[in-house]
Amino acid sequence: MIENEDWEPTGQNYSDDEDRSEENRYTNKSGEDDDNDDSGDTNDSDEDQLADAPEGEVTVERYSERQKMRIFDGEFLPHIDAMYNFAFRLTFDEDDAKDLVQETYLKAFRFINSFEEGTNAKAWLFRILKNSFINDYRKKSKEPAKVDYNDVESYYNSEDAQVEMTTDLRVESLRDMIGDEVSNALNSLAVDFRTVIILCDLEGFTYEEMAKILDIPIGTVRSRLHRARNLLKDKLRSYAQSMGY
Amino acid sequence: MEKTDNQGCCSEHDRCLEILQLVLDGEASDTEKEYYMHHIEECMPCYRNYNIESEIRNILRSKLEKKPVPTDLVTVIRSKVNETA
Ligand SMILES: [Zn+2]
Repeated sequence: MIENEDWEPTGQNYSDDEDRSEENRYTNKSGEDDDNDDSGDTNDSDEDQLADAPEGEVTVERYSERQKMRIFDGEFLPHIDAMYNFAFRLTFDEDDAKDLVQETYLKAFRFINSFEEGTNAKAWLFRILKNSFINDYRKKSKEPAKVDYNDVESYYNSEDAQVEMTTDLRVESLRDMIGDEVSNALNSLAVDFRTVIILCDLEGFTYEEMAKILDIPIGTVRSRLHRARNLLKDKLRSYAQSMGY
Repeated sequence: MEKTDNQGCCSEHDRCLEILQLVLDGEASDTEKEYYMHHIEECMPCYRNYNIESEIRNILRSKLEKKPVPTDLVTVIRSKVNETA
């Protein structure tokens, strides 16, 4: 939470003003308990589980030790594969990914009383992992701290970007691509754009789940996804061109 | 066949692009889905967009290699958890 400002890709140069003000409203809340007063876009029955940040204090002992282990083994550990792959796509480093996943699981266990058995464990875990990444790993990773605004700006300021893209990129070119090219295109995106694509396209989270995992309104999920996809498409198009597909 | 294809863009291009995302992400309402599926039957640019966008999602799902979880990771996590339990 503390690192939110640093993590947010948005800044003065961001192209969508409406979107920006929305972000401000949600991320500039003060204090550690800002997870408990979510409103608007993120209301639903899962709210409590996802909104209860693992950083918060848990005083109620909801589960016995045996129940805790059952939840941990039955609901948390089965997601380790997705968690590890998410961590690796965030850090680009096997050891960091391993540490990040380990830390996430230890936190999840420590705050297991704020998890309601049988609810969306995967989204809950992804949220913890994302927060751990921001707070602990972001600093030491090679990832630049901010979105490359030039990248974003030049794309959005180019009037015919959309037209150019749809005419140049062909379905056949995409089908001919190899995994490494797709992977490089995805990895070249700034972490916030990469993240929404991973969550949506690889992990199949809904917009609502993504909003909770990322602590942003659904409207921001949508606009960020839209931008991310356009940037990805741009990358794929230049791969296709350079490979002569 | 490309009767609405003027300047590579249909008259409702922005709205179409927006709905397309919702359709492919499984977040569109029935009305939006119906509108879009009907629209692409007669709008070539949007039809092309639809194919490109869904193929991008396909290749993301099918071509990205999954990293195998390190074999000792679960063991390490479990033993650390047992220490604290
Ligand atoms: Zn159209």
